[in-house]
Amino acid sequence: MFGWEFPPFNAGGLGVACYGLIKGLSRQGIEVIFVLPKKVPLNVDFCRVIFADENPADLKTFYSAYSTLTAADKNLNAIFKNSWGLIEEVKKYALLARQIAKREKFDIIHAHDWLCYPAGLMAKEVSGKPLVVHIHATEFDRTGGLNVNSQVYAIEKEGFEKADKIVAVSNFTKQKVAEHYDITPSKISVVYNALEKEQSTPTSEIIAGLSALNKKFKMVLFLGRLTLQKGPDYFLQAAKKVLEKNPNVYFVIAGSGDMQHQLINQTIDLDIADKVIFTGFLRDRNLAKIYQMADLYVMPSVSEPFGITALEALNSSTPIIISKQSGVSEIIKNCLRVDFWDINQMANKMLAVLNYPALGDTLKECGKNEVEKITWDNSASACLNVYNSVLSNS
Amino acid sequence: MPSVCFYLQTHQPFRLRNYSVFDIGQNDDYFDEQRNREYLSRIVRKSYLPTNRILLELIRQQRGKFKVSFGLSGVLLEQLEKNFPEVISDFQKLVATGCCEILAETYHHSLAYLYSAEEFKQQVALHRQKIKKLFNYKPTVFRNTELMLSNEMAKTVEEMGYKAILGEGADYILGWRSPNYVYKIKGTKNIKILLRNYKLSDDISFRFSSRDWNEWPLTADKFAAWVKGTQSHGDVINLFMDYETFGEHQWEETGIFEFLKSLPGEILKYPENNFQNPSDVIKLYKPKGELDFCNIVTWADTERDLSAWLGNRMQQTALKKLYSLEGIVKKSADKKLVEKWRKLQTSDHFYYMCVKWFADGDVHKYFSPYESPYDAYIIFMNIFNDLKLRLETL
Repeated sequence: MFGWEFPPFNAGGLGVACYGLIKGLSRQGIEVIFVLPKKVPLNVDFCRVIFADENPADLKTFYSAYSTLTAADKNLNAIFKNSWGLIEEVKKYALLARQIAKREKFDIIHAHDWLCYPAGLMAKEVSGKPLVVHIHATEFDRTGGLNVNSQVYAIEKEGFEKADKIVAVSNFTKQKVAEHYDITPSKISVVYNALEKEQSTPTSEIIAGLSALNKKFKMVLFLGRLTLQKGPDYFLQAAKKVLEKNPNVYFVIAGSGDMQHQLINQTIDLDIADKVIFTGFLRDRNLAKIYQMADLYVMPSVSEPFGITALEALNSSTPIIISKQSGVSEIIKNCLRVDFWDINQMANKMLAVLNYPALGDTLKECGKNEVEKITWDNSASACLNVYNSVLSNS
Repeated sequence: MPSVCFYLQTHQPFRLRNYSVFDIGQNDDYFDEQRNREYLSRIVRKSYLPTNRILLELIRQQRGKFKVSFGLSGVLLEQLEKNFPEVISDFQKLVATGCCEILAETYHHSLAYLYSAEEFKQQVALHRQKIKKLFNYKPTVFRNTELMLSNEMAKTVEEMGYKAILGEGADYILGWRSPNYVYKIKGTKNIKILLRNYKLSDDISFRFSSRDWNEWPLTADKFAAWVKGTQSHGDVINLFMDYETFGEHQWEETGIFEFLKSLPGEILKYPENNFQNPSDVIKLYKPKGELDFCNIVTWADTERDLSAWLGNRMQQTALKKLYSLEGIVKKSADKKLVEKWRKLQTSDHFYYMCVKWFADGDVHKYFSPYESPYDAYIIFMNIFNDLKLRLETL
């Protein structure tokens, strides 16, 4: 299995999903060799981890062998022509993957998102084993359909076309893949993400100051990368409308990303700067604490293939409002749903949770019960079904 | 000599429009007139018009031997008068045959009995006035919303002058006894109770078109044979169901109209059988014993209790808050506000807030005009707050 990141060295949900899926698979007796591009100090006991850059000898072999180009190499070179930094990394990962695939024994290859598709394709090429590509987010989700990177798109499309089967994290994503990449829907299986319910003792170290505020005010939380895809700007517009009706609320934006500066300016323009707190990126115990403190979690994503944070919030007994443009809204019933662009409805529903306690209480109680049933064991079983169907066809 | 008592409950609520927190204080238009007219138009076309014509034809064919009773909620009659007067005139023709009985109920199809004895009696009186005006008819038998029944309630209804009351033949009340007899009810003097034979009623209203059912397809002669089969242990088979069973819950394509057309003929083929309305039944048959309805029993779901309307905190809060306005609403003597307050009491509004999603819950979802029970609650509470504001600023 080729991944790109793994907790605690993750920037988002991709690493979290790989972690949960592998753990679920390992509990079903599946032996997973998990490959990461770069060495990080991981302490994992439920799968074997290989860091692609760990053995420099491999890299040497590859460079000396590079003088005679194989068909796969030529293909790789064509795709990566004029590539930029990240794409260079992806290319390097694919070349290292070839060495790993030659060396290791396995029955099936599983590659997560475009970053790992070239690695997966290379492994398929040298081993002849079937390839499953997993799609957690398409280039259309990340960019909101604007400025789609044609190289990334080409890598995604090649992965979808050459894979034996595609796993999408929701029907929402399945449709995107089918429409934008011209893939037959029957080639795509949906395996929903889930939540690994691990005990994490909430801390009060960094956000101790927030606790004092929390006693006097209601708190509404946004948590995610501060990018166009996650819709933090819509969150702030709705916050403005909420504050006009109920000033005893403050809004927390947890996460980092390229929109941070713009968002801070937006709070000033909207004249709500004193009601919005930016915490930066949170993890582990701070993350658990912030979910717990929140009276309401809002996920206003413009395009959210799944949205594990919604499950994390529910698991902390926090009511959620989620965008209809999300995969998680296909499986969670005990939530409020809005179109990301419908600021009035978003504010209406935020105010309802804040002002009508019976609503928040019912959402909390039923949501917690519902999320209990969403386990990685179930998702791993669904994934195993995909493996079996691929293996029986090959 | 088994009699068949065939009772159809006819009701449609004034559904609420998508009322946002930003409408509070700005907009006193609570009901979605256009949507209600559209819903009703469909039901009129698919169910009321064709079914009433069949019933009228059956009465003529059988020369008075076929009888049928109706529950006609005030809120439905009001909508029909305004938009579909042809349905009212069909009901008038039916009542004029002398073969139809109209039952008493709360005008607003409400749960008022549970919250205010005074309001309950006023709504029953309003319904009497409406029935008198439209049909020149005085009901003598009572049926409360959703077939609600308890000892206490029966006592109240008896004091109001009614001779009989309908209820659910729930197993946990009847035990080894049969629903096919007239009973007395604990704590009352003379009032009789007629209990729904839920098995035979649901064979028509729920199972008729179910292909998973081993009795599918249900034919009129088969059903008549089942009725005949109860001869040795019963006086009266009470078939109580939603009027909309015919043509709306069971579509025309299922053959439900053909079934209805042949049913009286097939039942009357057995010379000892007949059709009777509730007020005839209590004259013909003596009570077999006394039953104890110590808690409220309804015809809903598998629980046969009030949990579909009062099962969660949202429902309890909404009802409690609404009835807390009774004093101030009535003191205002503002006819329009009183009427709005009453239309908000219709039980459907609370039914839509039910979160018992699984098993029974599917039925709730099917009939709800809102996206989720949470949305139903938000809309209701926003409207409640507007009404409250208006009352406070009078």
